[in-house]
Amino acid sequence: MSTTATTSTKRWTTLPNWKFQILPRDTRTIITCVFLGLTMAVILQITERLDLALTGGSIPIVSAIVVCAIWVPSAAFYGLTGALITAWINPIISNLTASQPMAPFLFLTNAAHTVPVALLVWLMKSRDKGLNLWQLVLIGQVGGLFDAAMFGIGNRVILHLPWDFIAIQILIVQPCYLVGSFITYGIMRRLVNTGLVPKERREFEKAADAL
Amino acid sequence: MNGTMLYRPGDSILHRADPRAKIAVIVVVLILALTTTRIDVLVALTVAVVVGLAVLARITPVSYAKALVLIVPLILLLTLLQSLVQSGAAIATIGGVSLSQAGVLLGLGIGMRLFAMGICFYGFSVTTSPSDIALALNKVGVPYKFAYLTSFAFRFLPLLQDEARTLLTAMAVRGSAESSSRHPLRRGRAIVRMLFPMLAGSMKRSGDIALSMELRGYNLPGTRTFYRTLTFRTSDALLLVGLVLLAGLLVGMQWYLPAPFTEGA
Repeated sequence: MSTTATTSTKRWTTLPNWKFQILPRDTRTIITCVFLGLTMAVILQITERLDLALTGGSIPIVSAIVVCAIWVPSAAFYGLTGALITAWINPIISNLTASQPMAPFLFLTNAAHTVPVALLVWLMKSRDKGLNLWQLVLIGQVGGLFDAAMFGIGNRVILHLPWDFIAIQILIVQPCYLVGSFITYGIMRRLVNTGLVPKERREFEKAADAL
Repeated sequence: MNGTMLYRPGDSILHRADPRAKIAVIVVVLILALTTTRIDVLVALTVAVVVGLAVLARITPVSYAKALVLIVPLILLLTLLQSLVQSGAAIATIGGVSLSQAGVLLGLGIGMRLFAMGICFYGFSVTTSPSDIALALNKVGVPYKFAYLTSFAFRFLPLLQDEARTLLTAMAVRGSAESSSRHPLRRGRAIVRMLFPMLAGSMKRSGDIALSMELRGYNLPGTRTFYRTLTFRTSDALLLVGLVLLAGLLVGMQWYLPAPFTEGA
């Protein structure tokens, strides 16, 4: 019983540390972010169809859960560079494949999600350790709120949807972002553990000492 | 609409046009479409875009009809929603619920707006290669390092689409009912399961590609030279003049012609 409790506590504690820079400009970061953006575009091609089946495409429930799990790691690991590149690859693809009538507006809505996430990680993450679960949930929720609000503005400007409908839309997707944040936490932990995410120099030193 | 690149090489006027001129056309069409809800102006804009594509790029409505059909459910939903929330005289009453005329017109106007925007983007995508877009972005001041990412993304998009398909097939082969389920939420769970392998695969792959790109001088400082460059020709200037005339005509139509129907809010 106590082993289960310990495993559970361990699973939801602070994430392993990684090196965070607000504006990394190295080639590896840029290319990684393009690939994350492409992953996002490919996965959204599937989730948009699922949302079409669930809500007629009016409220992106499945997409809201999934976008967190790609955008938040991207902005948290690669700062503003990751936030903007990952956010803008999908609208570029959507525009050039004519797969979304609101594609031009996605440049704004996507960035409205990822930029606050990158800035909040910059403000909240210490150099010595990763983020807590509650910090990640808060960051994901703020990003989601900005995203939904910007999407609502787009719906108002382009589709002339009434504000009541937009408010309901924003309220419905918020729990989806919350669920998405828990999934994101698990994915971020696994990604940091793979060693593919850049680490702080002192982490390498610690590992060398341990060896 | 299936997420693959639409670009088809050709020799039409729009294929040969400078991408910067085509981007200007898109921006103006977007502004025109978004600044009015008058159905007559939006119909005129849509007709201008359709005729323009047929004449300048030899793209007939048959080639994009399939893509437009996919927007129709959204337009119907919007029209129904607008007809329920807008006030004014009722066009019909179904089961005690009145559908307002202003709402129906507004919904159809927005539908026309989506058609005009969608057809315009379709024309741009069919006639402009990603490498031309990268060159155009570079010409307007975006550093090459970032402008190149447009064509880079299109180069690797099919690879990631294949990877997603392989992962879903692998899950099905291992007995997972989620990946082939018709239930949207169960299928959603399958997608959540494939997120980690896709993200880890992307991060792993990017290391090798970044290294090979650096070895080919992607990150080198200094002025870059190009094998192919863009030149702004007389035909591009004429395209822009035509665009200004069209914009003037539509703005004039909106200001000086009375609206044929009562507009929505």
